[in-house]
Amino acid sequence: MGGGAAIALLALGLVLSFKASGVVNLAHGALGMYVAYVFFELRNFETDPAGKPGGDLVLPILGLPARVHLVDRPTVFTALLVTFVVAAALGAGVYGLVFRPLRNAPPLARVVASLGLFLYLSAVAKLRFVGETGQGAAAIQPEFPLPSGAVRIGDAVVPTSNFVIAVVALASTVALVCVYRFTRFGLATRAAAENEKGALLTGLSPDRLGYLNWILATTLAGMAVILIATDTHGIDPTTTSLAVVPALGAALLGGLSSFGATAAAGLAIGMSQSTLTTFQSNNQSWLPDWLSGGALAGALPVVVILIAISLQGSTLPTRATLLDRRLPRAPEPKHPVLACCAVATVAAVGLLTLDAQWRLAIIVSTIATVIALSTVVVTGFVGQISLAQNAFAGLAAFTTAKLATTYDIAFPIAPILGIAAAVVVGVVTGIPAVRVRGLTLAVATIGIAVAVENLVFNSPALLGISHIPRPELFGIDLGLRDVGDKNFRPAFGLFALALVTASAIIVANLRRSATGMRWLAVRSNERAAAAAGINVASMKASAFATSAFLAGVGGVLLAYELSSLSTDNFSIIAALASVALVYLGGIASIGGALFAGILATGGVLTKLNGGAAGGASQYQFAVSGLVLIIVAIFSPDGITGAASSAMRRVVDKVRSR
Amino acid sequence: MSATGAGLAVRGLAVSYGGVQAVDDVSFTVEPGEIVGLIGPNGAGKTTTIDAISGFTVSRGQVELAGRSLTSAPAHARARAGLVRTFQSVELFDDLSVRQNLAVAALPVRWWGPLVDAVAPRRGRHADVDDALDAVGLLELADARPTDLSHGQRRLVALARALASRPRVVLLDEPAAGLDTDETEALGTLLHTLRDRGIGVLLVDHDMSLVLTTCLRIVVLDFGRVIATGAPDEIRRDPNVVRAYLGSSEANS
Amino acid sequence: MQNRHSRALAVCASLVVFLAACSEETTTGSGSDASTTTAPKVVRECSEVDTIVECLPDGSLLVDYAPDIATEATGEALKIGTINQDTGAAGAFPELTVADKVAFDFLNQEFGGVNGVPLELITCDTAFDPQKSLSCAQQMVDEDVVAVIGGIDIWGDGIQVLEDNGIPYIGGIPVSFNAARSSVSFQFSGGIWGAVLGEANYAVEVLDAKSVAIIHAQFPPIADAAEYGKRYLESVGVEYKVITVPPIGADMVAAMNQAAESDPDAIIALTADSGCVPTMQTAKQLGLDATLLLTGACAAPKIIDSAGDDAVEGRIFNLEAELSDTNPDSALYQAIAEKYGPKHNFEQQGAGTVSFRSVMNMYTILRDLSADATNPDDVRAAISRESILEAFRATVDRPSFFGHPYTCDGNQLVDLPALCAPQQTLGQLSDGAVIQVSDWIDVGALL
Repeated sequence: MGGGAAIALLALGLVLSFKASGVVNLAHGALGMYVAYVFFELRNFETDPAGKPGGDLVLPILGLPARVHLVDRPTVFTALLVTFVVAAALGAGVYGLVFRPLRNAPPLARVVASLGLFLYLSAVAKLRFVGETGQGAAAIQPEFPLPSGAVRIGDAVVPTSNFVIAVVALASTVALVCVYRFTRFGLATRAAAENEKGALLTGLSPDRLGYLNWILATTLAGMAVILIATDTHGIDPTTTSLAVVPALGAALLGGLSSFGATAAAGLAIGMSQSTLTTFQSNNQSWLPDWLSGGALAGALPVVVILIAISLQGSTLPTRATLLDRRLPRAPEPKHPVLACCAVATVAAVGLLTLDAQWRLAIIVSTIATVIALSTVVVTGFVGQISLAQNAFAGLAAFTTAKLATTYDIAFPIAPILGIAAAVVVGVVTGIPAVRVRGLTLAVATIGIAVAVENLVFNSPALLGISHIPRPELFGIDLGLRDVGDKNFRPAFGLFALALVTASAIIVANLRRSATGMRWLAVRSNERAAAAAGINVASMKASAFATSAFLAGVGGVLLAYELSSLSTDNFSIIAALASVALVYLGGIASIGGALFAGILATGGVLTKLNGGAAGGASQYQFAVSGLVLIIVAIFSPDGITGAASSAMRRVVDKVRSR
Repeated sequence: MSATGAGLAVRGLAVSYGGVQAVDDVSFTVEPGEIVGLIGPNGAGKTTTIDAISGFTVSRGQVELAGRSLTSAPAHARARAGLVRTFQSVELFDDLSVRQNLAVAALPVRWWGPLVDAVAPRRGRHADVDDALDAVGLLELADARPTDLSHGQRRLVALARALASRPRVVLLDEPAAGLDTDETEALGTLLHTLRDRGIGVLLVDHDMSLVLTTCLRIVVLDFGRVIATGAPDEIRRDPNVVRAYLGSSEANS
Repeated sequence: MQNRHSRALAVCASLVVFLAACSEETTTGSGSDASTTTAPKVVRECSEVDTIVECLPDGSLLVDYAPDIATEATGEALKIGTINQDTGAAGAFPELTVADKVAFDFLNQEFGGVNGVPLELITCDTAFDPQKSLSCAQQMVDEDVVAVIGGIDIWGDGIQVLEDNGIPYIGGIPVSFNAARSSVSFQFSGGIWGAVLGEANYAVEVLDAKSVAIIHAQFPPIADAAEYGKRYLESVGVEYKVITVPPIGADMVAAMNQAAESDPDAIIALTADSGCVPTMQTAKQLGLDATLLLTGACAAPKIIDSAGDDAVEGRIFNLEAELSDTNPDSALYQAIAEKYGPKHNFEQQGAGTVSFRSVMNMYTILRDLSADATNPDDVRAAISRESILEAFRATVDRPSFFGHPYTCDGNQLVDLPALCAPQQTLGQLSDGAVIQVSDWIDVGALL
C-alpha cells in the first residue's frame, strides 16, 4: 500500500506539470530525487558537537562551487524551508530554460529534452552526493520525522509510515482538485493549457502560470521522494529517478488530466504489484517453468496499463490535436547503394588491416549502427517515438541463444527465427501505436520494454546460457573468437558488415520509395494521410515490424559476439542512450544512425579516444545530458542536419558568385 | 432526385457530440458529373457533415458510393474507394515535394508494397500525378516543397491531390478561401474539369457567387438539419434559407 | 539503474577479508571502543621500523617467502594484468586496482619481486561495459601478460578471451557465470553461491529451522544461487519459500510480509548492497521474529552505521574468514596498507582486500614455480601461462592469504569448477561488533 501511495504522489506532480505546459516530464522523478538529496544532505550531521555539522547546500550546476555551508545542524523546519527554495528555483529554471522554449516543438524534441535533463540530474547527483566510488551507497541515510513501528492488518504487517504517505497522497489529491477547480489560478491554468490567448483575459500571463505550476510540481516531486526514500530506507540517483516509470503509468491512466483518477491509478498499480508478489511466491505449480517468480509482478501491471491507455486513445487524431511543427529533416538519400558501399568499404579495409582491438571497435560500431537504424525508421521516418528497440534486440538475441544451445538449431536458422520473434513482438508493439501518439506512445513502449524484460530476460529458462556454437555458413567459419591477435576475426566482422550494409541499403530504398513517402506522410499529418487513402494503422505496423527486424539483426549479432547475454545490454537506459545519440546525429537520416554507431561506447570513437583505458565518467554523462537539451531546443535536425544545412549555405554562396 | 446508384448517396446521416446533435437526419445525393453545393450559416454542421461522410467522425446513417455501402469503412478505405475529401485548413505533407504529395494518393496500395520497395523502390512517377498538376496549372512546381509555395498555391496542390486519387466523388471543404483572382479562376476551371470527367463534387464554401454559379443543386443546412434543397434560384428565394441567414446575420450585426 | 544490483552483487560476494581485518578496529556508531585490547602488537612494531620485512607477523602466509632484509627488484618485469570496473555509471570500484598497485609496490620493493624479477601491473578499466570487458582482455593478450588478477567484472565476457588464450584469471570477486565456471579461473571466494549455501546450512543445523524464506533480487547469477539454496533445503526436507524482488526500487515491506506469511525461522536476503539497509530496517520495523541472514557486503561499516544499532542487532552475515584478534595476515595487510597505501590514496577498508589476497596467493605460486631458478632468465622461463595454470590446478588445501585453504580441482562446488574455496564462516552482529558464530562450513559437501 505504501508503494501505491508513493506512485500516486509522484504521478500527481507529473499531471501537474503536464496540465501547465503540455509536457510529460520524464525527468520528474530525477527532479524529486535531487530535491530530496538536498534535504537529506542538509540534515546529514552528527549530534556530537565535534562531529559533522551538516547544513551544506549542494548546488546542481557544474562549474559553480559544489556546496555552500549555510548553518550548522539545521532543524527539520529550516531544512525544509531551504529545500523548498531549491525546489522552486529548480522548477522555475527547468520551465524557463528548457520546456518553455519547447512549447511548440514536436513531442520528440520534448522527450529528448526531458531525457537530457534526466541524464544530467542523475549524473550531477552522483557527482555531488555519491562521489566517484560506488561505496557511497549508504553515505546519506534518508531521514524524515515519520512515525516508526508497524500495525497489523489481517495477515500483513504494515509500517505506520505507509499510512502517513497515504494520507499525504490523499490530502494532496484533494488540495489539487480544489485548487484546479475552484481558484482563479487553477482555472486560468486549465484555460491557458487549451488556449493561450484566452488565458490572458483572466489577467494572469501564461508564462507566470507556467512558472508557478512548475514550482508546485517540483515541490510535490521533492516531497514525494523525501517521504518515499524515508519509507523505503534508501535513495539512489538512478534507481529513484526511474521510479517515474510506474508514475507515468498512473498519470496516463488518469488521462493526464484528472488528479483523482491518477491517484486512484497509482494506488491500484501499487496494490497490484504487492498482490502479484504474493501470488508468485506461493509456488503456484501451474505456472510454467519459464515464467520467473517476479515476472508477473513486473509485467502484468504494464500490460494492463497498455490496454487501458490504448482504449483511451483514438485511431485518428481529432481535429483539436495540434499539428506538429518543425519535424526533423528526413533527407532523401541520393545514391544509397554507392554511399553505403563506400562506408562499408572503409570499414572492411579497417577489418582486414588493423589490429584486434580496432576490429572489435569496428564490430561494436557496426552493431550499434543497425540498432540505431531501427530508431531512424520508426521514430525518424514515421514519427512514432519508440524506446523498445533494445528490447527487440534482446528478444532476438536471447531467442537465438536459446534455440542454438538448448534446442541445437543450426546457424543460420536459429538467428532467422530469433529475428522473426523480434518482428512478431514488434508488430504487437505497433498495436497501441495505432491509438496513442507522442509522449504517451513513448511511455507505452517503455512499458513494453519493461514487460519483455520481465517475461523474457529474467526467465529461469534463459538462466546462464552461454557458449553459443560458432556460426558457420557454407563451410566458412564466421565465429568471432580466435587466439592471440587473431581474435575478433575479420570473418565475423565482414559478415556483420554485410548484414548491416544490406540493412542500410534497404532503409534507404524504403525512404526513396512509395512506402517511405507514406511513412513520412503519416509522420507529417495522420488525418491528411488517411484522406489520401493511406492506411495509417498498417503503415505504423509495417514501421514497427521493419524496425524490429533491424533491431533483431543487431541483437543476433550481439548474441554471437558476447559469450554471456545479460539484460543490461538491452535495458531501457541503453535504449534511451541510443535514441539520444541518434537524435544527436539526425534522427530521420541514415547518416544519423551511422553517427550513433560511431559514437557508441566501445566503438570507433572510443577507440580513437584511447581505447580500453578510458571510461565514461560522470562528467561525460552530465555533459551529454546538457548537449541533448541544447540540441533539442536549437537543432532538432541533429548534428548531421546542422552540418548539411551549413554545407548547403556554403554551396549556395559559392553558386551565387 | 433519382438515385442512379453511380454516385454518392447519403441517408439519415446523424452526428452527436456529447449531448449536442451536430448533424441530424441529413440525406442527399451527388450524381456523377454533378456539382452540389452545401451551404448554411456558421456552425450549421457543414464540415461535420463532410467529416461524417468521409469517415473522420463517428456517425449514424448510411453512406453509399456507386451502390457500395461505405458506412462501416474506415476513412482511408473510403478514400481508396473513390470518396475523396479536402480539408478546410490545407493539410499537405511538408516533408514531401508537391509531386510526392500527390503520389502517395495516386500510387496503388498493395500488401507486398513495402517488401518490393525494400529492394526496388517505387519512385512515385505516375501519370495521374502529372495530369492532376497540369489540371491546376502547377506542373512546373512539381518538385517544390509546400513550404516554398504561397497559400493559394498550396490550396491548389491539395485540390490536385484529390484529383490524383482517381475519385468518383470529391468533397471540397472551403476550397476558395484565401485564393486570389487568378487562383479562383484556376479553381473554377478545375471544377469544370471534374464535371467533364464525370466526377461528382460536393462543394462547401462561403463564396456565394461561386456556389450559386457553379452548383447544379444546393443543399442548405441549419443547426445540423437540411432546411432546403433545390436549384440555386429556388434557394435564393426560399424563405427558410433567408431566415436562417438573416437570423445569423442579425446576430452578427 | 538496473546495473545497480549487479554492482552490489559483486560487493556481496566479497568484503570478507576487510570485514575481519577491521572488526577489531571498527565498531558500529562512533562511540564505543571495544577494540582497544585486540589490536595486534605487531602493528605497533611495524610503525617503528622502516621496512615491513623486519616486522613480518609470525604465521603470515608470506613468512616462508620473506628475504632476510628488504630487497628491491629491478630489471625486466613479469607482466601481470588486471581487469576491473574502475569507473562506471552504475558504480565504480577503483579500490581493487589500487590494492593491486599497493601489493605490487610492497612485493617489488621489499621482497625482491619474484626471485629478483619485478612484477609489472597492466591495468584496464571495463567501465561496466561488456564490450569493454572483451577489449580489456584482448589488451592483456596483446601485452603478453602471464596472468590476470581478477577484479569486479559483472559481465565476465573478457574471461572467455582469456580462456581462449590460456591466460589464468586469478581471484577477484566471482559474480559472472564465466568467473565461476571458466577453466582458467581460480577463485578464492564462494561468491553468492557459497553465501546462500552457508547460510542455509547454518539455518538448518544451528537455528534448527523448519521453514526458511529466501528473498532475492531478480538477476541471473543471484537467481542461480537461490536455486542452489533451494536444492539444499529440499535435500534436507526443510520447507522453503522464494520471493523475488525487482532490482529497482524493491518494496521490501511487501517482500518481508510475504516471507513472514510462512512463519519462517530464518530469512535469507540476497539483495544489492543498496538493499541492505532497507532490508534490515524493514525487518526491525515489522518486528519479525525470524533470524535475518544477509551477505557479507551488508556488514560494511558505512551500511551498519546507516542502518542504526537497532536494525542490525542479531543479523548474520557470511564471512569466508576466521575472525581472530591476532590474525597475522590481517595485521600484515594493515601494515602494508599503512606504509604503501598513501602514495595511491588507498582506502584500507574496502573491497580492495579481495584483490590484495588474490595478488598474495598468486605470488606464492609464482615463487614456488621459480624456486629453483638462479637468475632472472630462468625465473621468466619457469613462469608461463601454462605453468601457472598447471600449478593452480594441482593445488590441494593450499593456504590462502587470510581465507580458507583452496583446492582447484574443479570439484569444490558442483557445476562451479572455478570456485576453489567456497567454504563459509558466518558472523553475527552483537552489541556493536561482529562475532564469528560458526566454524568453516563445507558448502561443497552439502550438494
